Amino acid sequence: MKISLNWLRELVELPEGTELEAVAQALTEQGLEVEGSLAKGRELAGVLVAEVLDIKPHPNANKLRIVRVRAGQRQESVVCGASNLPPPGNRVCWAPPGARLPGGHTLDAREVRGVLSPGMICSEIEMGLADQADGILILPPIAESGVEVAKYLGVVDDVLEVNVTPNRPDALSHFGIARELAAHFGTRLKPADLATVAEQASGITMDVRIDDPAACPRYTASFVAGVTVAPSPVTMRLRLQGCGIRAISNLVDVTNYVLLETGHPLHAFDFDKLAGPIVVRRARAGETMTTLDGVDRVLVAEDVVITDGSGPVALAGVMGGSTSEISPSTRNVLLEAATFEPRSIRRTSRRLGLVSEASYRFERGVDANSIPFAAQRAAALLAKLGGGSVVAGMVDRYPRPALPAKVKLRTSRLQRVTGVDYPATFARDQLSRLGITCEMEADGLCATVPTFRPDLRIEEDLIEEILRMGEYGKPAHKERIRSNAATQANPEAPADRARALLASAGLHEIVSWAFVPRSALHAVSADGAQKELADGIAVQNPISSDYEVMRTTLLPGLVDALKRNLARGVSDAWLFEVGRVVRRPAKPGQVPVERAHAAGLITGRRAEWLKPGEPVDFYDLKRVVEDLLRGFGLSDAKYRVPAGVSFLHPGVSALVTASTDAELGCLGEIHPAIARRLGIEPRVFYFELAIAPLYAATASLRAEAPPRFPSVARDVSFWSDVSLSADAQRAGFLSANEPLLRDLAVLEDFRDPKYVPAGKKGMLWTMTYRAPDRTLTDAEADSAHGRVVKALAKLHVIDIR
Amino acid sequence: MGTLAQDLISAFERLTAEFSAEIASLSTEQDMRAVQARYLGKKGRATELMKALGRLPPVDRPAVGEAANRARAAIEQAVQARLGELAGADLAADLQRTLDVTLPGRGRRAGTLHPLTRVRLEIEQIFHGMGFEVRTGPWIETEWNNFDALNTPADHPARDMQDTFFVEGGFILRSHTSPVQIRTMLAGPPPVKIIAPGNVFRRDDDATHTPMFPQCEGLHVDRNVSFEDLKATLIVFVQRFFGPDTQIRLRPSFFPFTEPSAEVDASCFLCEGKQPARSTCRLCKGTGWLEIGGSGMVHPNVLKAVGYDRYDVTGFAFGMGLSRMAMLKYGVQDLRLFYENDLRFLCQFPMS
Repeated sequence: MKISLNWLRELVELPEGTELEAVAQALTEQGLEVEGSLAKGRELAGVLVAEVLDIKPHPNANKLRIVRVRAGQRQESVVCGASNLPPPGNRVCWAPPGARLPGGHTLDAREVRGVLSPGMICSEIEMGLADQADGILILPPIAESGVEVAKYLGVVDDVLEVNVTPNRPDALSHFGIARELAAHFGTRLKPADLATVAEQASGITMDVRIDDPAACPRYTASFVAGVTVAPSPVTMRLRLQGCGIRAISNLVDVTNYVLLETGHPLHAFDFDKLAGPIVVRRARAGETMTTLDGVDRVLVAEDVVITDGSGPVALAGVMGGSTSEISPSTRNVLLEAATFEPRSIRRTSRRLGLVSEASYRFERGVDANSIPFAAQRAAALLAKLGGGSVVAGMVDRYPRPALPAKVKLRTSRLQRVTGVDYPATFARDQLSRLGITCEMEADGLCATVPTFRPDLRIEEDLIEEILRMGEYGKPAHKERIRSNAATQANPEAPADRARALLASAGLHEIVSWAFVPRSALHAVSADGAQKELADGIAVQNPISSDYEVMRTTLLPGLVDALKRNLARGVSDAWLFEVGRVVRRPAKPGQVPVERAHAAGLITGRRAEWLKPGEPVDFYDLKRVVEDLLRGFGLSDAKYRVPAGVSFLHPGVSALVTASTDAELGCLGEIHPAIARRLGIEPRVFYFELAIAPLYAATASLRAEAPPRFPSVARDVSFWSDVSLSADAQRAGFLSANEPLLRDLAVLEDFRDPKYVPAGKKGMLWTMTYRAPDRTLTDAEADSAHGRVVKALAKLHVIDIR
Repeated sequence: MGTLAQDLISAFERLTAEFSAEIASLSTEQDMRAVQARYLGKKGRATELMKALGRLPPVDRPAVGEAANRARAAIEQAVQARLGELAGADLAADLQRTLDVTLPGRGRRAGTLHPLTRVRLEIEQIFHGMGFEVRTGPWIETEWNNFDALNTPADHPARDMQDTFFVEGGFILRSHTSPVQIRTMLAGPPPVKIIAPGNVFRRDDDATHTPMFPQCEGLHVDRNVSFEDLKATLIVFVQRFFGPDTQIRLRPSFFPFTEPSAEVDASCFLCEGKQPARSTCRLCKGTGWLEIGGSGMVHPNVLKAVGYDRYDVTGFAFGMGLSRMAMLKYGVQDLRLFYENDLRFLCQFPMS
């Protein structure tokens, strides 16, 4: 909300020398955060109020005049082309040489069609006061000649942007803010300037009936007769503009002005266009009306409407109707000041997408008891600016007047919640600064809360008010920390362990959005072939199609990050993400399933020292996965083919399972066809594992002492079919059940077609033999090795070299 | 002593000198031992000399024997001395080696943790030290857990404070981690002392808002937990997170689920709130304060919603945005950098 500092100064006394910064700080400390301020009118300097002395034609131009002006002691003749030059005696705005206009323009004396013109006579546009204007700005004769225009109009102002939280409808006006400042500084509010106008004893009037008092607790109608529609005075227009409201005409501007001043939304009807009498009721479903913005609205039964016998003339609290709109021919005005039930205003405003200054305040709550003040203020201003008169006798329908709430506060509760032993008298003094009167009671006090503070209903509300006045800022006492031990494990710990392991393995963590475009899931699932990947949970109100469905896999986010890095010239990318994926529940209506996954991808070259390395491949990725699994205590995971994962190369991928066959995830090369669809050129190797089964499979760690006797190594080298996997060979060796065999590892898998027969591969294994209680002899090792090799040969065709 | 004996003794002494001269040019132990064998071996010169021993009168024998032993010892000593000399030279030569220590280390560098992870881990650690347990909850939530139970009824303007994503099945994406507070309190009786880190979602996407961002909230409910305890907890947190001289400022505010409520500011650690640095401080924009989050005393309606005795227990809650904390902590100016995943940015956050 925009608040003018000049306006505030009219409403409240401030301590001597209180400038912008002090006001902003005071409001911020009170809980009305000032988010910024805008200095207004500082660019306009040296433009003077000048009296028009006489006007002569320009010798060389029909449309120009030579105007002799006087500003204080100075007299000059200025060339002016405006069509609205006022007769002598009136005041205009003269920018003499040296004056500054917004936009950094400084005036000088210049020849205009052969006549020297010292400066110029200005319009509002030139002075930065308005976006449009009909000719120059004319000021009334009472404006003192020679005074700076900026000063005379009060354009030098600071507009504060105040963030008013939704619980504080009372602060949504200059008056409300002034009240807070008075409480903060301990100063007084200035008496309201109720412009006094002659009241007309009788005249136009119209009866009012409220059909649904729950929807409309109070409705008042004031009547102003004999007005003329005209532009508002420039000072009022400037204020409205400064607060972000466009000036329209005196009648409309007054309602907005009083709204900004008092926080009360008001509506001016053209009295002569109302059939009457006024009835406030719920709309009938399907009923229609045209609002001020020219849109035809179809109403529903919960909307509240103002009707005049012929049908709805206003959508209560949200927007007026076009039939009774103020127009240039309006002579008589019915001024509505009312309150409406916040929730129905909110629903109507949301449903129609109409948020107005009025609806914003009504849905937060407007104080019914200060309506007469706002209505009188507006009626008087209407009469004054429109040249009419207020008709005596405001029609007021208020079937169940709101009473101030009584809220009790126990001293014990105050002390318990705050942790400070405040006495009850302190509470009373603090509250009284806010206009809340208190009666002292045995165990505390009973506060009478003014009706403009609907947010104060329970003890805790009062406690905040008591603390709000300076107590928030008091220093804290660290010794109050009572740390009792945390006893439950951190549920994020497994995911964090995965993060640490993957970063140690050389991968860089990324964070990507939890929602992805549907097309991305479509691509990675091979057009929906893998249904659990394709069928993500939809976001029903996405910001854009980039975020339309919850991710079912971490792949799209990692691919996105990879592409961004490739585009920026990074060719070696080792990335990982640990985060949740969301899968469709087993049965419709159940809560979707959220699972933490760890995924990563690698591409580019291996880290060689001081020279380019070989391109990374499946086995670089497998090392990463093995180390991750080892970090969870899984050294015996299995790699199954075919993986059957839509986004992985069918021949260069595997499913990862625990030794119990519990599925953990997959790894492999991104399927070339899908890589092409995703727009990635280099070969990329990718894994994705679920964290929970990893964690569940974690075995407790058992360690052995180092062996006391040395081991003996024996190698075996043979040809086998290419299809005989290392795992199958290992299983073959192990089928010997040789107790002396302690370890075995592949040293070579040799497939160079120059030396190896087609369909074959050369294998070299090394075995470690050891006995727990003695040093093995060569003969013992040889015979054990013979048994081990024979076990494999019994199961598979191998050709020992 | 006879002449023969004296000749033998001087022969042994010469033997030593000759040996030393002979091995002076040798550079391996093997060569030296070969020469040594020619002097001291079975057919060596010393053995030859010893054969004359039988011809000596018994009285002279001990002196000659002693000379022989001296010679043996001196020869071995000469070998050792020469070996030591050689080793010293080898060592000296070895010590001449140098290399360019400024070349990089070999092998793949360790990876990095995302700054949002780092900052979360640090915050978890600080609160863990004060006895807070970490709790998490689902992203996909019910409106009741996210709003109603938190004293934010439908049709209340407070719901506008957070623009919510809806997902199919009648659920929403949680707009804050407060539903974790609700779930924790529903799951068991007080006391509760938890922090709840996690991603939250709001329909906002511009230079200073992302539709997904991490938050960390805290909740402490027990008998006699007061606003003073909240202040104390926050001051300990900011001093451990930003530095021991950091101060906090609480400002009155409004959150539906707390009463009283407060915005939390930490004093700017860059300018320390001191002029003249403050007026040009880019971090706090001249205010001397950094907004870090919201806080307050748990609203009685929230305690009521989870079935706690609101007359028996009180509690405080607080929350902060982790992106904001990471921006402050690491001097990051642009929020979007956290989600661009540019390796040149991410590489600056090693594991710690």
